[in-house]
Amino acid sequence: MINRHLKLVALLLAMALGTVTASAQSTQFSLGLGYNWLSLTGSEDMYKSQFNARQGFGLQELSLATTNPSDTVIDHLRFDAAGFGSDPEGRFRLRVGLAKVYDLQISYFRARYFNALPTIANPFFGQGITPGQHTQDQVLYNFDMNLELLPGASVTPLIGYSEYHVGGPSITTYHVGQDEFRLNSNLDSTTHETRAGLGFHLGDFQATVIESWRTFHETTNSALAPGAGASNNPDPVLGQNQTLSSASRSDRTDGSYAMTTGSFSAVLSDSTRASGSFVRADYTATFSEGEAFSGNLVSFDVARFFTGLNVSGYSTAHTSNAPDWRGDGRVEFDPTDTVQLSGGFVRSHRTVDGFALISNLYTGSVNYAGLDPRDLAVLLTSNNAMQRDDNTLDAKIVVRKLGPVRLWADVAHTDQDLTVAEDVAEIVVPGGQGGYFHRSIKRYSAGAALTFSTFKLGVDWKEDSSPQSIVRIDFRDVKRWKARADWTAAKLFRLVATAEWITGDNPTPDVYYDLKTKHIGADLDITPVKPLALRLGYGRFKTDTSAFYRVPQDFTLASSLYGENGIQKEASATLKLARFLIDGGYSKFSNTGSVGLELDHTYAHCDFDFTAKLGASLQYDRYKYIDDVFTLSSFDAKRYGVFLRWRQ
Amino acid sequence: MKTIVRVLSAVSVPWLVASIALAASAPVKDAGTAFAPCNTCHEDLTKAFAANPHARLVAASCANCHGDGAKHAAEGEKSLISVPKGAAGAKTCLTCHGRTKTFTHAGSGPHATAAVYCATCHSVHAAAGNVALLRAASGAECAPCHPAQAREFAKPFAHHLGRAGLTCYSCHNPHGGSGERALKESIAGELPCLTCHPDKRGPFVFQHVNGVTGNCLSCHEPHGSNNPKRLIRPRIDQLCLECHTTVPTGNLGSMPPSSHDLRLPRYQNCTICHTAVHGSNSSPMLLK
Repeated sequence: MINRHLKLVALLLAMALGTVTASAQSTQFSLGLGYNWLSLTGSEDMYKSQFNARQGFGLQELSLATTNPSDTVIDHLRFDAAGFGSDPEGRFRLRVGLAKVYDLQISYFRARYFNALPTIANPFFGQGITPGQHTQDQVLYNFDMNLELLPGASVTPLIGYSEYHVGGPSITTYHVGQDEFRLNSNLDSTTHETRAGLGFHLGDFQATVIESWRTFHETTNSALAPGAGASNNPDPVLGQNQTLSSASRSDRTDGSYAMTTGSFSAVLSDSTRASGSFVRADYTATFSEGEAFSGNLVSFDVARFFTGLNVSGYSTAHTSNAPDWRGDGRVEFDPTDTVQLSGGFVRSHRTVDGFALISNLYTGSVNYAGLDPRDLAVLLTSNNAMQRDDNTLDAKIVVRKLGPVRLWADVAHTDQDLTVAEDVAEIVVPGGQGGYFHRSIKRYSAGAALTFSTFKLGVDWKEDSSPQSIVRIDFRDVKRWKARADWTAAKLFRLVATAEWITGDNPTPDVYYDLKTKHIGADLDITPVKPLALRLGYGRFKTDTSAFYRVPQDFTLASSLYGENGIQKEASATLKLARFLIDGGYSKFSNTGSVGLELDHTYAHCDFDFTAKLGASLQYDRYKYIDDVFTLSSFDAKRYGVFLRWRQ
Repeated sequence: MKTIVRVLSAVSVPWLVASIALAASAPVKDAGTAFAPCNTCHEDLTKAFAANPHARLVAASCANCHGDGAKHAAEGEKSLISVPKGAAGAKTCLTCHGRTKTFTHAGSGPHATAAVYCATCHSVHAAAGNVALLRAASGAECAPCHPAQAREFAKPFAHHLGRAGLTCYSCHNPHGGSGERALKESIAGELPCLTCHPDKRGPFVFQHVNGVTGNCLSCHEPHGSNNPKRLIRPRIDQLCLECHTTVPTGNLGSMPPSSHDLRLPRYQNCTICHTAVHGSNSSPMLLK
């Protein structure tokens, strides 16, 4: 549907474009079209999961900007598009309007998602079988339109519409009968959003109020993948072979959401400003699901024992609600030219609540509960209610023009309250499933910036501390240091160096969560002569985290360790002569932490102008990925492109 | 609908091509009269400005931002003209641009404290080049000050920054915001992730994280990662067990997994069975 709407909108706009450009007083236009070739060796799945660029025609650029202040329908228009075709992403943006009458902005985005990774959801990874059993080849469309009427007037009506679509095939697994089976699946998810509101521009007071309505429809249809009936695990369970002769599953979600958004800013005096925003969203979703399986299975559903089970039917109906709101306000006050004081608050609330009515229909099974085994309905209301409230207050002081130095300091306090209903599983193993949790966080931060001629030095420090953690990976203490130096010497070079250290921990005796990470990097841009620009970059990062956990198979205590230790190097050169531009470079990324890998990128792009209006581009990109752990994932992809360009 | 599209195609495409060709051959508007007398000395500037979005304002004139330049024009002295720079310059821009929620934190946001103002990233006088008159396209203006973040996009599993319009400000509001890291929330106050991944939004009957006990960033790296699916850990079981383990804590979610044997690949991949890891409507264990 979105594509059909899009074609209609595009063609109507093309006619409008034609009308306005024909009489335009100023027009800039560029179009680059061409063809890409792809040469790939190694893992195609991994290449597509990381890049997904293909062979074929592609749009390098399409840009049109035109103004005509004397036109009475469209006095400004700008259109930009790139991608599509062989590129996995494509986008266009259009802005068109008439001063004081209307301003229309339209954008469209399309992206292909591909995922087939050897280590994700792969029960056979140890046997060297790839890819994993969760793969996707899906497409996302996103269309967005905003119209402002009477821009610049005291009251401006605002109208908007958005449409999002995600869909396409995937392979997934399904757990039934104490085993998992591969299913072919197809997703079709569409979101429509309509907005209407008003903008207020009354002297020093500006405000916007928008009411939005969103609907969400999603269907997923799945069926047993060919040859997957024997399950992933050939071993019998409780003496029963697990097989499926057929499986089908479909679900549908319908959601509706009403949202209210408001914001304001006001200049209260020459030295005082206030601003704030509010958003409230009421989500309601209904969900239905049906599935039918035939085969021999074992089930522990609802903690009862079945043997020789033939599951022939299953249906569910659910609803869930999630009213959310968030508000914030801030006041900025400048007592002098050099000092700014500001304070603000943020409050937010989120509730999620729902229930599920699940009907199971079993045949040919035995249970020991005395129930009719063919029709069993379970109403679940547990572990589906959560509520969270956050309150944050902060105060900040900025001291400017203290000689060449600027200083700032900020203090903030956050209270988090979380209530979670207990899970059914709590009956079996108590603890950790629900309850009331509170966390208060104090944050102190400060920074200084020194500006001396063309040299700048900045240092930031921030520390968060809390006596509580809600989940195990909540830090009790986090410290961050950042430093940045920037030196520009005439037009000859610019050197930027940065460093960042972060440490965090949760020293609770049975958690011992610990994090240390640091980045350092430097970039040097050199322009020895005007047509030539050289760039060198170096970055190094190191991360180590650890956390206690219990090994499920033997209940021993162990540490979950994760490390990254990487280097990034890059060098590039750009030479621009009268009608000729060449841009080439090389970058290397390597990691020797928990995951050993290398990713090299080599590129050379060459532009040549045949005339002032007509030119051509030659492009070469090579991505070489080396996976040290699972070498079958490595690939070497070379992409060549030839483009013709017309500029006006 | 199909017929309408076909008819419009037949008419509009040739019409557009012909019009562009016609417009391309037309002379560019002379900016002289609109920006006199400044154009006498600042010819290049005013020529470029003629195609600038600011120039389409009915009352567009140099004095809007530079004040009365009569003395400067008469004597040619630089100090006699106001050049908006730094914090004061930002105030000039915000006179018109500070109307929306986008700009409400521009004065006290992290960029302001780091002495980054409008003209650092925007070229105010330029002809209509990059979107929003940015000095560099597609987030390239962010990289010099945020190189560590920029390098994350060079990791193997990364968002494709710079491709087809995906920029830093697709997710961040560089002018500041009330939330962490100036994230550009949706109209419903959601993380920007859900704009492109709406199927993860919920609400679900059985939640997992989902804005209550955490958010997308609890498990995923936003820019780029060494790990598949931009996860923060290479193995899924490692990621899950850091929260869900039987070590007795009072923390939420420290629930025990079954006695799965992690030595087997199937149990190193929790999502083989717990497929609905973002939330489920029918399975408390997130099995479907």
